[in-house]
Amino acid sequence: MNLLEFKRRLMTDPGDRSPEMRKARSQGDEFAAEAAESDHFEHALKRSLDVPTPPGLSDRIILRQSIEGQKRSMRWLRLGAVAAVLLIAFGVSRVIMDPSTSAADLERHVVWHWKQDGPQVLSAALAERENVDHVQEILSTFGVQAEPGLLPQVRLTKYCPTPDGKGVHLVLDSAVGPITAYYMPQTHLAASPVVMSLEGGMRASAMNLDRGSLTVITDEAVDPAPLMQEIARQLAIAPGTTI
Amino acid sequence: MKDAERKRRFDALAHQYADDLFRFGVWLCRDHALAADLVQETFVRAWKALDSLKDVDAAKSWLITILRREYARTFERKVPPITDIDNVVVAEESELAPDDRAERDLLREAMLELELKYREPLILQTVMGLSIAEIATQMELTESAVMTRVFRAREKLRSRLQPGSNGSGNVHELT
Repeated sequence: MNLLEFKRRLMTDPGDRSPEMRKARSQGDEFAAEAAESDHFEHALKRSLDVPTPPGLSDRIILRQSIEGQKRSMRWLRLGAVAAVLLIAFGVSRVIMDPSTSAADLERHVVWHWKQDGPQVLSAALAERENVDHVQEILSTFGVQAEPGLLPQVRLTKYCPTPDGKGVHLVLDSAVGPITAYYMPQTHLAASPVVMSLEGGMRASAMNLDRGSLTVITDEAVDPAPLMQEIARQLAIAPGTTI
Repeated sequence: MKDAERKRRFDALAHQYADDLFRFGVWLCRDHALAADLVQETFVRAWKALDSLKDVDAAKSWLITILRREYARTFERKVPPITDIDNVVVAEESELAPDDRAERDLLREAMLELELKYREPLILQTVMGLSIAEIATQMELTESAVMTRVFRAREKLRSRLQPGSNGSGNVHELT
């Protein structure tokens, strides 16, 4: 290694103690002088850069971290407590304010209703056919109207009680014979559809509509789903009515 | 990593590297108070990212990376425009001989005047003990570029120690 290269390496990496650099240091007076000058400068440089540090810096860092950690824990605890309170409040409000009707409430009502007059109304409807205008008049009371295709099938329409007020009791012709339907404009089911067993081998099936709900009563052997879908499709919300 | 193990690792890092990082921070931002904040923030971020430190041997470089990013992200714009040596180095008791003290103060002043691109690699090498290759990785430079910069930094500082120097240095290109 020549002197120029030796000086360059001292200036770029003065801590280099490789065999090559160690050998160069003892190559002669000029090399030794350069090495001594470099060592002196590096010593002075380190001394200059070695500024006093704030007393207890690392301890303060650790302390701060501990405090931050505790704050975080407390924050999570507080958040957890708030979340728990909100959850409880939400649950309570759901119980208090939920306007939906449970399946059990609906079943109690439908069983009672069917038992009261279901078979009798069904029989009576077989003897006559409802006036179309009367059908629309009753339905319009609740903001709905029957599609033209549904009107000829209606044999009977009358007001009836529902779990949430007043509704419509209908008897309709269908492919499986006359069936009973209850339109309950104020009753919205918490879960839909709902299937209920009734006396005499009958079955009630209920589903939510855009406005209220519909319960259809058929023989247990009949699949009520297509019937319900068809009636639901034909019970439209009257123009100008908000859901 | 369990909390106790995490805390043990963190405490060890703080004890081992806080002072050196502070010295690095002082010469990086040239402000004593700012450097103390910078190191504190560095360790706050280090705590959050501690699980990402897989190799304990890489801890020093890892902390330097965090500090440099934090400096660039937040602290760089806070550095006061006028630099006073009293803002950098707090008063210290010194047992140095008058000549040595004068030399030390002269070098410190020269360091303050050194451009960041020369100052930073020199601090990383001298204060933090990084190799040329490690500095190159930190600063995303080639090793050759790092060697050029530390060469020039030393040349500028050494020129200030020459009698009658105006501090301009005698810069040579490395080949």
